[in-house]
Amino acid sequence: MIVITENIIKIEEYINESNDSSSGSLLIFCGTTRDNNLGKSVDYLEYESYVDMAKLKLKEIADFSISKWSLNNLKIIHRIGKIEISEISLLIIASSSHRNESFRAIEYIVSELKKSVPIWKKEYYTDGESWIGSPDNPN
Amino acid sequence: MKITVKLFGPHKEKLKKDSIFLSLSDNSNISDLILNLNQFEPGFKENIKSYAIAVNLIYQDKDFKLHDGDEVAIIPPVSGG
Repeated sequence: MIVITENIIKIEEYINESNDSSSGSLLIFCGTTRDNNLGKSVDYLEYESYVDMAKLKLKEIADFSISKWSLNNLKIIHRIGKIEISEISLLIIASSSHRNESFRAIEYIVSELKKSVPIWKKEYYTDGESWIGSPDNPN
Repeated sequence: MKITVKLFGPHKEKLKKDSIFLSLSDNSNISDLILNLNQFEPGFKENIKSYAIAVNLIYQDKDFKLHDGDEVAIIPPVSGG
């Protein structure tokens, strides 16, 4: 399941349907928005996406991960729009027979997402704003 | 041929528009499109070095040939997660 949404991500909405009797591992990763970056105090963030392409890239990453690590279930949910501090911007839920597969898959998914999925993050400070990934504010 | 160019993130903000509509000659490739976009953003062909380009939702190299109706996206460095 791939979801890009402007709504608040509620883990409980996705977790129940992720469990299955053939899995011994159900791993949840939450990317959350923090209140500081590079010594600056962050008030909130905004995410923008090229949604159609982002869904396509996430599906490629998901399909590869399911195949490589024999995942029984995988959900990737990314939020866009304005996100307050400490809210979830990224939720990944992976289930597999054993824990190693889920751990490796999630590490790979987050890493690939940050390299190739067309989503952009902008931080807002009390005294300005900055796109992450720009030369003066690397990802 | 008619091409739609979509802009995102810092690039969209800089140009104050989210898309540009171009007419290019037949057999144009992405490099030709980059030269054409220089009229909207002087120095674009230099700035583009840190960007990626997608055609119809798929990343492509600069020698990729364009076709009438293609949607080209200029992708600044991504920062999801």
